[in-house]
Amino acid sequence: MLKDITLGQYYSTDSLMHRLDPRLKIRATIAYIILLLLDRNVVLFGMLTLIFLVAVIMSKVPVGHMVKGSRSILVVVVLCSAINIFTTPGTGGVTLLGLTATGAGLVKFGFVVWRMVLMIFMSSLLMYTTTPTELTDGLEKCFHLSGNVAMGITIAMRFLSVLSQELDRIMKAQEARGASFHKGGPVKRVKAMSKVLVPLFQNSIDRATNLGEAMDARCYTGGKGRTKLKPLVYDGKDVIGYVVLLLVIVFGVYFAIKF
Amino acid sequence: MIKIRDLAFEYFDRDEEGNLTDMINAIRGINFDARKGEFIGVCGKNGSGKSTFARILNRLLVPIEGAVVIGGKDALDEDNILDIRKAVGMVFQNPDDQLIGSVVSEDVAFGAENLGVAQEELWERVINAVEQAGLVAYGARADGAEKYVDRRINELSGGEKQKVAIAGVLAMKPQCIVLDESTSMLDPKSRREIIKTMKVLNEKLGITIIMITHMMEELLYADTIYLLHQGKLVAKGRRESIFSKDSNLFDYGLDYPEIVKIREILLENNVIRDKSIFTVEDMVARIKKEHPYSFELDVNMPAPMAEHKRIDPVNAILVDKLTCGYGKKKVLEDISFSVGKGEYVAVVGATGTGKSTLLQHIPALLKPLSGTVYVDGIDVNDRTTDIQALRCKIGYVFQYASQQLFGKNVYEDVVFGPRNVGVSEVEAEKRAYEAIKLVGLPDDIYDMPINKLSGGQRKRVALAGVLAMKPEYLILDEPTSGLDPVGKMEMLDIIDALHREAGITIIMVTHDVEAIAQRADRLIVLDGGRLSYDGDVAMGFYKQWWDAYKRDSDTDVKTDSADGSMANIPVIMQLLIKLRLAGMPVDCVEMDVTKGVENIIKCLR
Repeated sequence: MLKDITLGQYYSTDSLMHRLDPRLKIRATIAYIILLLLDRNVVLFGMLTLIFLVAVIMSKVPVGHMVKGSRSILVVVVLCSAINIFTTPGTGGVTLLGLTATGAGLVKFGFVVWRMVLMIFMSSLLMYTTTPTELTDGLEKCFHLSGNVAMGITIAMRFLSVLSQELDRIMKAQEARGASFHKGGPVKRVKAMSKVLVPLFQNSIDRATNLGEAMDARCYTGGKGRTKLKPLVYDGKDVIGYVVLLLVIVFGVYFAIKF
Repeated sequence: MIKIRDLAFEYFDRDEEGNLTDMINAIRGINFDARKGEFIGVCGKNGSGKSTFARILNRLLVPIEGAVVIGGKDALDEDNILDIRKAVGMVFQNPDDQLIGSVVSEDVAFGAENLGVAQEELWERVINAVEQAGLVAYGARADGAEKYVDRRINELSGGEKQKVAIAGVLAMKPQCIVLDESTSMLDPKSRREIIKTMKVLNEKLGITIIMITHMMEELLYADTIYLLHQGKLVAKGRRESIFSKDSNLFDYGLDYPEIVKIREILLENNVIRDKSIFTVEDMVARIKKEHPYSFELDVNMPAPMAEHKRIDPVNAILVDKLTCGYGKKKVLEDISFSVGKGEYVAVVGATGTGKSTLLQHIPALLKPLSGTVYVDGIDVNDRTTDIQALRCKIGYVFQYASQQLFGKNVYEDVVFGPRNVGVSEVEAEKRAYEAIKLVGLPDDIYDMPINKLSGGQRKRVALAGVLAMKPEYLILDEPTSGLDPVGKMEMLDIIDALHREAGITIIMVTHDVEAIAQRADRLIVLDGGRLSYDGDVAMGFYKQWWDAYKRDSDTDVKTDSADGSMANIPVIMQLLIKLRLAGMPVDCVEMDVTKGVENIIKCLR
């Protein structure tokens, strides 16, 4: 189950989106999310959906891969937003188990899901097309972080997959010895999980120690005097990218006010 | 290049209040010299202090006494840390714990970036390092280093990851590379490739190599061998003296390389009269020189006999057309085999072929994409099957002990399983006690916290934890990985005893071909997502070589896959095959050393 989540894992291919400067991609993603939150109307959302589709096509990341990677999150989004159907006042339709679904509620539900889906997909597109190192370089520049913090983020992202594998193995090892994570009441399940977390933390600390040692051995001293294999340099396509971003913001804001 | 005098290092153990409880003498009185361009092997059993020694070379640890001079610089001086780490690169044991980047180029560049190398030169160094580490000349990959550096680390095999780690060190332009048991988690073929890569780096670039290992075969490549025991240097010399009869390697928890053992038997039988042979190739040349008339011009290699697949529906474990994988990605396709009660089956295949994935389907730890597994006639994937009872019956010992030890001390851990299945506390305690005894651990280990145990002890506790469930079948995933020769032997003896005396059916995944040759009575080979062989062990080994040999002779392109596949078969069979290839009409489907030598003697004229 944990292994299915590909959210935030770099998808290796060569595309225009992959080659864009991470600073541009980070800023564009933030602007995109702000636009999504500005207003709720079909024209604005239509434009943003169009932009998303163009971005996906440009990125060469298969849509199926993206959907699969965020499936579990999408289920949660749909379930949570479904509350809107029953809680929005309006002229009612069907009453189900004492809850009244309203037309306005259904519309609101649609918009919330639409917004969340775009938000999740657009931000995961950033992760798919940017390596963790590029991403941290970008974050470092965009938010003026120190080199150490940026390195921390890189490693944390890289270790996510390692930890999920580790968790999987520990749970299997316990299941093999008769433990059960799917039976019994919530108290029993939490108790069973707690026995997984202790070795997980212990192993994480061990692995972190090993990694720290490996970094020391390769002369890491905290970012000072470090050069970069891929320094962030803007080129022509990034300038065009910024122009497009500016236009999108202008139109977005216009649509948000106008409609 | 490196000069060390009277080295001493101690570990301090403190209790919760910070009082000194124990002082472990990790290293005492070691003198060590490494000249430029030398290939040095440092061996010793688990806990002999060899890893501590490796860390001192890179100044990850600072000795309490002694003089350490590396590249003319005093290693004890704080100011020289970076210079020393730059000169002495280090490759660690676990491929997953030492790579920092998420794609190859980022990781290879990491060290050089830290040194402040300018950007244009960085790229040059990364590309060169990837080529030098043998990552692009590998196999039929023709896209070159520029393409290779964009690959994701997650997608690489264990052997490739270790090569990336080596490339990362090479990009820092070191004078010396220290390998701290860097091959111990790899399959035999990758292992051999890494060693060959190091040999090339040593010969072509003049880089000093210091290889810390307890794999005796690897030491044969070294110019000088240092033997450590209990933190002290007990022997130093060339392979001739270290592997001579009177060096008593068993006393130090070590063993002789297979080829040396074979040589001794050949010497006893007067087949050869040369004591200085350390490779299979030299042995073939020597035998040819001493017995030229035993070789004929035209001897062909026999095709392996048809494998006898034994799918028996009444058998204890029946894997039925199993296809498994993660999501849509298939790891293994259409696997069928059966294991009878009381068998001892070995499963082999390169890292990443899905051996563990396959076996985890037997106690239903994974769900198959299609097909299923029957244990004693019960479908393990049936919803009505009592999974807990099934898992009591099938013990599964995972590869890494650290991932399956959960208790705060040995007793608490071993009793975990019995408690889960709801036996009484008295019974659980009794079972735990018996299991600990069964794996040969002393009584006083009961209250020992897990983190105080050695690697070998952890593996035994992990096994005890499974045995406490009273399994009828035991699946062991690399039970000997990371153990020194004597530890390995002891572990295999325990498994043998469980098989013979307790009648437990054994299914074992291992890279240790000699262990399989000596102990297993059936071999299953996984290759390229399929079951490629199931049957007699010796024939299985031979077929692995034969398939590669066939592939080689069918293509015009010069490949050495047959030679590479030699790593997967016992040394005696390697010798027999090479003798036959050279023209001696010897029966080469043999993996027992004594019988193999008899085969050779039979052919002498």
